Amino acid sequence: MDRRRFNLAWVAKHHFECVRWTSFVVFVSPAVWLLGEWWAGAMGINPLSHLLRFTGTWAVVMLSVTLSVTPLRRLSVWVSRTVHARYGKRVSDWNGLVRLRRQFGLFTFFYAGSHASAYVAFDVGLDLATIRDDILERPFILVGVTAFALLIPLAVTSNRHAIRALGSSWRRLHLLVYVVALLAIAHFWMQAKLGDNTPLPYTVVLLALLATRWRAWQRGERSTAGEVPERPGAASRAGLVAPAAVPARPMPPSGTGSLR
Amino acid sequence: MVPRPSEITPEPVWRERRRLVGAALGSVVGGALPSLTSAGEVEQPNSFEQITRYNNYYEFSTNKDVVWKLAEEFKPTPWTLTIDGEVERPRSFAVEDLLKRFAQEDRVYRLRCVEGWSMVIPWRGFPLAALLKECQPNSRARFVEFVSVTRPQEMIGQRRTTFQWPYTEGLRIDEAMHPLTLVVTGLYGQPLPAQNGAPLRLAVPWKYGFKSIKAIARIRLVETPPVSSWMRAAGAEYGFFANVNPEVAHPRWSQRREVRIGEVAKRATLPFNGYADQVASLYGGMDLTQNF
Repeated sequence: MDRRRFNLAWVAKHHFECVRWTSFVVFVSPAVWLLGEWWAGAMGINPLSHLLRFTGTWAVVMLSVTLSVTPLRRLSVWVSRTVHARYGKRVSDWNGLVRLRRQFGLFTFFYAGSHASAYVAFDVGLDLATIRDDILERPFILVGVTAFALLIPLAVTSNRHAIRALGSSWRRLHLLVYVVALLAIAHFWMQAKLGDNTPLPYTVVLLALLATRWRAWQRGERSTAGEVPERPGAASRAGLVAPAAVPARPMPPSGTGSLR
Repeated sequence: MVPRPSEITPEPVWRERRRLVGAALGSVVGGALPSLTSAGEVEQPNSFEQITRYNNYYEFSTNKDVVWKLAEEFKPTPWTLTIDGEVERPRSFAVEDLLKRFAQEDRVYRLRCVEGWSMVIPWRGFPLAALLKECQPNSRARFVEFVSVTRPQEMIGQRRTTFQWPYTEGLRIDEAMHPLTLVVTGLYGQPLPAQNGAPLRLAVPWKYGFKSIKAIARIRLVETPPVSSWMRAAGAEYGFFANVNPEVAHPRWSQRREVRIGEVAKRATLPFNGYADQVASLYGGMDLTQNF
């Protein structure tokens, strides 16, 4: 029996649309949940506060998920290589995660946008003068507005055409996400009242993710995606498309080559 | 001491009663006025559930949604209130004696939290002035300090030391003697629930909610301005007066508007929380930007 049919990693790789849709359903479900709560009138005693906290928290969560893609890829490549070197077995890496990163980034924008919309619609009541007063009077609003404003160009350029058109400046533009992460942390803490440590776990995660960037940058690993080296087994992927073109290469003994 | 739902006066009945006795109530201190906005709009009180399930009470938690549950551990009886300091007659009262000695009144007050939300609450209680007069403040009594309790066994939030416990608050003597300043003993005609400050709390409706100290154990009349818990913890953000003032922003957020519990969108905040007619004269000539 073909081993591939039972191999989740193989399915994930070769039916990537399934992965994409699963991920979409998972990360859209908080928004659906919130709409359900709204519809059922179950948003708690202070619905506005719930709305703002829920959307803001999920924006930070999605930002963390987005920023964890590259460290997870690096980690998985390291694991994959180490296992291969030590035990002669090959395990799959998670390089495919990068194909979800745009979706994660757009979800970040979606939740941040919902957060900003709830603020504009219900907190300030669609009044421009009030927004101006708020930005002047409340530093944490200024920080939040700035973070959201910086997300807009990132969301707008999250498509094939923009990547092609912008060339190497696309990568530089998208470094802004690190600024957004720092502003988001500041915004989260500035609204928290004295003695409220809710932002702490989110801060730890985001700072840890930023720290991996810092470490990579210090080691001179500036380019992230191109950084992951192709592994020998990568050729077998091409093999599935056109076996004749594949140079003869011995498969690893365990048959885990099907993972690729 | 949460009353069973069956013990609570149904809100429609309660509101009807208020309408019936409203005129009599209003004559006391213009008590009917607090339930009207300056626009003349009648404000419905928040429901018993809203008032008792959304509590800012750091002694239990910084999370307002769970205080009611944590407060089940709190034992408000027996309770003694001590009044001392610059008074001719230092006194101690058991809470039951206070209830007997001072005529209990129902007052509907707005409560505006410094965090930007508000409620309309039908308190039951008696004017602080009546209590203080019993103790005969002397001429050095210029301020009143209120002290709560330290019971980390019963108040789980006190096991954190973000604050110095017990919670303390202070008023100027004229603020304390103002007829609007209420010693609260009940809510919706029922004994005060623990999460709302049982057995005794203040209601100073023209000031931010944190001035209305809960679970008062001691009242001390003093000559110099007392330092409140919030001044000690973050003096730049929370001043001694803490009058509701839309023009003076909290250092981190605006105070121009508030969300009334039960509504989704925010509404404008009124100077002195809508009680300017009654209390603005207390602050004549003062720079309220400096004395926030």
